Amino acid sequence: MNRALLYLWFVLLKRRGLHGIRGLRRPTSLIGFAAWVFFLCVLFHYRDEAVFAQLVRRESLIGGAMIMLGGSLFMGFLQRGLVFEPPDVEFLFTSPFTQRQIVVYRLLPNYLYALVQGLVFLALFASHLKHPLLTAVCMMLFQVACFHLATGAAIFGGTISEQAHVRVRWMMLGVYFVMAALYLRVAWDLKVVPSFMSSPLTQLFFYPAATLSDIGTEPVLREWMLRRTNTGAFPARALWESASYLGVFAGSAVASFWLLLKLRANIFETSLATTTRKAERRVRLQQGRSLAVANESRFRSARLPKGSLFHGVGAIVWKHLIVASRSKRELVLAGAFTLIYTGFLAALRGLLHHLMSAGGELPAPQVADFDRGLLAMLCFLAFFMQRTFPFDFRRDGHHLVGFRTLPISPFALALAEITVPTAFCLAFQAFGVLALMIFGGFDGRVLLYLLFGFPAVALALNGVWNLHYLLAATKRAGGKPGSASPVEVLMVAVLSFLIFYPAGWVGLQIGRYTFGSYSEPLAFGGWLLIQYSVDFLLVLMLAKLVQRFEVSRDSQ
Amino acid sequence: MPHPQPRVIEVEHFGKNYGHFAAVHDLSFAVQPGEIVGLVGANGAGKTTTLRAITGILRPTAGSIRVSGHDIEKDPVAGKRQFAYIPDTVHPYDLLTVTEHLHFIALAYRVENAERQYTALLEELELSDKKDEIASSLSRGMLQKLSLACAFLRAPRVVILDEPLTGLDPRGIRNIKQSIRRRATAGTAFLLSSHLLLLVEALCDRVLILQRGRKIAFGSLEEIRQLAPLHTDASLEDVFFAVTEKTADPVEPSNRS
Repeated sequence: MNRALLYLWFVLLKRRGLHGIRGLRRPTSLIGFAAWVFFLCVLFHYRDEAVFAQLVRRESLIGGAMIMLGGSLFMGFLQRGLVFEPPDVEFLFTSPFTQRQIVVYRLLPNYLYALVQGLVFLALFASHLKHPLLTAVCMMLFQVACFHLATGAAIFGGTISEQAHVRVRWMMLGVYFVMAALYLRVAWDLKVVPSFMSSPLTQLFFYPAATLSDIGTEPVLREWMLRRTNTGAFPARALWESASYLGVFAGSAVASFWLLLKLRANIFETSLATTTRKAERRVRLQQGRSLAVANESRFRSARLPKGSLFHGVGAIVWKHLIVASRSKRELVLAGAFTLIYTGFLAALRGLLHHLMSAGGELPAPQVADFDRGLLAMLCFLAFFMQRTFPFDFRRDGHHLVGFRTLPISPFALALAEITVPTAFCLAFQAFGVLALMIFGGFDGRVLLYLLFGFPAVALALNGVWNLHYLLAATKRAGGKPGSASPVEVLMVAVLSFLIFYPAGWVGLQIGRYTFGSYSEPLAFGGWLLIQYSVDFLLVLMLAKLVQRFEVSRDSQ
Repeated sequence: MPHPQPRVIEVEHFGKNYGHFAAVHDLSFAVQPGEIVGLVGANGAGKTTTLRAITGILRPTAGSIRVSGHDIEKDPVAGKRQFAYIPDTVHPYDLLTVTEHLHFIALAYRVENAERQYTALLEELELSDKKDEIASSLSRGMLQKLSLACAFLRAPRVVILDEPLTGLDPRGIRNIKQSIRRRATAGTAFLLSSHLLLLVEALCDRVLILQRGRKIAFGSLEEIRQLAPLHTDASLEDVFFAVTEKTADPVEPSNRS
């Protein structure tokens, strides 16, 4: 190992550690760190429970090892070249280091990870293992071997053509499926492959290949697998057997390392492409932009809209509509999700009606309550939908400087930004309502509730999430890192529920203190009034944020 | 028989393909010690590809590249000891200080008396007061200076610069130009790619003009002027457009006869 590379690695490790500790001054980082520590402490506290013993059964360990091995190979192969930090390209690729030295430098963090993982494994599972230290060391060595294989697969993946890469990728997936099916069948007696696949007719298609049943019930293989998956703790072994385990794992780590260094491929060109791709991805993520890049580079330009609807602030809505029309992937995903979600709700409604028609009586108020429950669940669809339509401040966050110069009011701008995702949420919900109405119509009053209620909910959800996107964008414009931590996202998710609390509380109070047929419309009216007021305040807050954010020298 | 002049960079019949696209085709040129060679061309002409291939980051599809006599493909480590490369966009290690970057270079290139040398370099590049600042806190111009300090510290035989003056203030530009000239006089060769034709004209001894991956002119400004019918004091900008447009445009019907 080169002295300069070791120096670089240690200095960077030290600096990153200090940077991480300093980062704990931020409340969100501190909460996230505390949550991790708490989680580990809980695991450590309950480490003697039976569930931990289940995790280190031989079947589980073999399954875990298969996932590690298969995952390493596949993920490495998928990368097509090693991923480095952008400065590595400038400082390492053009410096007098051998390719092997650079590969070992790239593996150093992985070795550290394997060590930490081995220690955590030892701390959590020691009480359930006959030879805890030996098992932890073996696991660590196995992880190291997996890292070597992943690195080798990444280098190899970068040397072959795109066409060959796609073929090998699918072949690997096929092999993994067969291995997973075989493992589940032998170790856990789970049959993944449906029984008709082993019928004589299906077997005709694969003749003379062996079927899964043939392989699974092969005496030699079965005996071997049963021996491997012998349940219970490790049986007492002689010292030489322990040593042989250690030897095998250490040998696999050394052999994989030797093979990796023997690879003759040039890593620089493929790694440059992979590193650039990953760096661009990271930048897009930090800027809150979509990670998916459009496949087509040419589109037929949209015509200039003639109506006055798209003039002034409407131009922003028009721009988002154009982007939406070119974001087929997002729309297809949203459509598929809506189909599954409403399909489930429609199936529930269909089942109820089927049972009622089969003789099961249910009072009309209870049927109405059931329907309202389904509609409430459909209303909740907007929560998922708004995340799939990035046609708002998520996409425009990095254009804020330019937007400040547009001759439109901040309120109109904020409203225009959330118009398209809100409209899309409502359109997809309308599809859900139509699907539910197949099994019986809703009365006029319920439809009126939907007509006024759903927009209030969709507007509120889009308002809350856009506050988050806009705050992230203003932070970026101020030169701070823009990607949100998981804790921040969790807090926004909680807020997107709390935002309905005032209106819900008012609605309930009105319902509690009014009686008769006017009670429900009054309660709904109260809810609607408060909810739209909250929505208005949200848009107003967005407008204030747009108006007030500071622009740093970096964003100019 | 005259003794052949030593060459720090020798590019012979170099070609680079990306799939079916030929980024550079049959390019040959050489750079001698103490010479400043400018590489100019429109976007996509193959300048960065050529520079990256000389530095060993990209593998040539055809031809060979030698740096101080070392084939960059067959003997990359020896070749890489001879040059310093500064890319168009500087990416330092965000969490390393200016001094730590220089420490790393000193270790990687086994620089003797590194501390004394980099102190002088920091003075020269006006970075002394920033020596303990981490790279992420530096402005773009400062990063460019840091990159130059890392390049000069290793005392390379050739410095390869891709757009070297991006982000520098007027004073910084003047200092860098002076540094380049001083080092060239001391025998260091420079190969620089730039769109700033005035800079290339003021600084370079010879100019290599690329167009769509092909060499269309290589020589001193006077030599290139011969290729296009221009007046004797025509600027590089005039020469560049005369040469590239002559190559790009079809021959006039009147000239065919």
